[in-house]
Amino acid sequence: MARKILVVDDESDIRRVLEFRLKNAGYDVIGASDGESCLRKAKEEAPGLIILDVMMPGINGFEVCKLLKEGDKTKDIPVIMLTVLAGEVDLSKGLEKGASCFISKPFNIIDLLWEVKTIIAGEKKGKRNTKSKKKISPGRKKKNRGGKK
Amino acid sequence: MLEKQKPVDRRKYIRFDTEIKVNFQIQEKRKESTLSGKISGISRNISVEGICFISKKKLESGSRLELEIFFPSESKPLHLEGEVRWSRSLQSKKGKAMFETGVKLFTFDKGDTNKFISNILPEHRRAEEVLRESEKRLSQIIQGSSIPTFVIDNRRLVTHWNKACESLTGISAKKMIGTRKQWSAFYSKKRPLMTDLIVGEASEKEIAGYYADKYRKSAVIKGAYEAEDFFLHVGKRGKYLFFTAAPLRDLEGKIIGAIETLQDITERKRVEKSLKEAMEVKSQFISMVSHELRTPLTAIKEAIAIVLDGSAGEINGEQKDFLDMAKRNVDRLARLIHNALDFQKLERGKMEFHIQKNDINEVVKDIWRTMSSLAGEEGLDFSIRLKDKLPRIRFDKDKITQVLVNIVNNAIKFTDKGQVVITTGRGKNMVQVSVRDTGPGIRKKDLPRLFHRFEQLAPPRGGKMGGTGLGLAISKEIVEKHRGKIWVKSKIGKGTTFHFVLPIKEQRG
Repeated sequence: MARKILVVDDESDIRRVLEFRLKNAGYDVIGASDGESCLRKAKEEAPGLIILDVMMPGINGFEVCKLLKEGDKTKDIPVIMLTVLAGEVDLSKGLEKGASCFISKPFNIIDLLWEVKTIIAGEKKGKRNTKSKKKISPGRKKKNRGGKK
Repeated sequence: MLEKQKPVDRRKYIRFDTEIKVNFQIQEKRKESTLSGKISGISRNISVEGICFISKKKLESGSRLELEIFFPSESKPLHLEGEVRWSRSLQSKKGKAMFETGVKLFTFDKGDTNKFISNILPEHRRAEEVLRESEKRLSQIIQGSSIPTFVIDNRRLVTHWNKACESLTGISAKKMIGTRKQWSAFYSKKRPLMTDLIVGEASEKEIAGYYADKYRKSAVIKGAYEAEDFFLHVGKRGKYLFFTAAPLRDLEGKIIGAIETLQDITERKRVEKSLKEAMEVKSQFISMVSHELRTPLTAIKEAIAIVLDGSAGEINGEQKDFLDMAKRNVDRLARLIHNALDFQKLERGKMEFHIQKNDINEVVKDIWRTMSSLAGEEGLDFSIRLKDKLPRIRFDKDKITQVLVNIVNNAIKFTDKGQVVITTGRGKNMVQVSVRDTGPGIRKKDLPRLFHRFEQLAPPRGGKMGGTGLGLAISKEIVEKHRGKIWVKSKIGKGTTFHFVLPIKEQRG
């Protein structure tokens, strides 16, 4: 059960590559193309992790995250937020809404898989948001994950 | 004469060396034994005015006169004594007696009258005329100025309202001068103008009551205020005016009026506004384009990577080469977009800085650890030399790391063989970081362009390109936001050294 991941993005190409990568890494993947179907599938399928795009038509990712964290059945599902808005919006606000971490697009798949692995492993131990490794390279900077302000 | 009569020691006197001839008119008051009246006259180009008292009995040649004479340019009366040398009585119609008198005048030292007289004598000017002339000149200066100007006196009556002011407000000087209607040129309801407040010696609080945050004390003129506001009732569609009001003072510093100059800044405001809007549109455009680009880029990048690493089935060597090429260029595109957005944010001041106390040596060590392998791949000797016990200073660790990564990346990229060294040091009230390489060096004429945005120097001897042209521009912005400085020294064939310093105290930019 814990190895099931819900990927939410309105761009089907992004869903497709993420699905491919995650399946290759041994996870079960289900997809959703908007906030509403994400909320429904999160309830029905009870995934171990949700990868959620921020900019979507309809309810945006922040709102979806907030609603997930308010739902009894879904409040314990960790959320990784994917965004092209890196640095443009106050990401700490998203973290307040309960996201475990932010990853900016274009993402580095190794970073993403590492986050997924850590969060799911942490979930098993009842922990969340393990401190991530430090990566420094231009154009591939991960944004602050809270606690830095 | 008087010299003989009053030989008192401390009474110095100055003597007019000729007689002042005074024509004076005396209003005869029958019951009184003293005649008093006004006198006025000019002698030796000095104009005098005054009041005199004469005993009726003594009104004959040789009698003594006591005169109080005012010089027009001075408000203090000057006590003079003289002698009637001759007199002639002329009978006028309404009981007025006219006397023509020649007086020899002496002045006694009371206060600084002594100084005063001697000041006047060498001038040989008609004070009244001088005054009239200077008033006329002042009027002409105000009138001739192309800056809308008006003047009020201490009773708040308009005394000057120049042509430029007429054309700005559309109200003629005729309608204004001598009235207190100056408010009507600017407002629909009666209220004091800045000049009125100054003449009324209004408190700072009162002024703030009328002008809120739109005014400030003039930095140039003492006691003056300047303000900027939109006036709906000036001109056809209203005008933005910048105005300065300054007090006019007499010699003793008492406020005797105020002058206000106005500037129509409507056009400037309009240009500023449209410029701001254009900048905003540009920013939004760059922002939107960059975001829109990122989504397809993400899909392309991952799709290539999936095929390239063999996850989707085996590929041959040539296919791999071409996919590598595609990947390299997608990465470059991603960097370009990232940097363009970064620079945009810096330019708009929207970049968030997380300033904390940090150890610069730790940052350098981190970079050394992460970039050693890259330098190793290029066959370079990459080392660090750290100054012990550097003070912890306040900076944004991520941003300064970005600066250093950028510089070190460049050094590694452009250096074929030899070494790249990062050193830290301490200067006066600052910490310095330097990155030295043994690369080809940069031509002197290219150095100033180095930190400009979108500048890329021609690669030396067919060397590698592929930056975004924004790295150093961003680095410069970041360092300067920390109130630091970044610069470069280079010698062709020897190598290049980038330096930057961060201040030890007071950080926030």
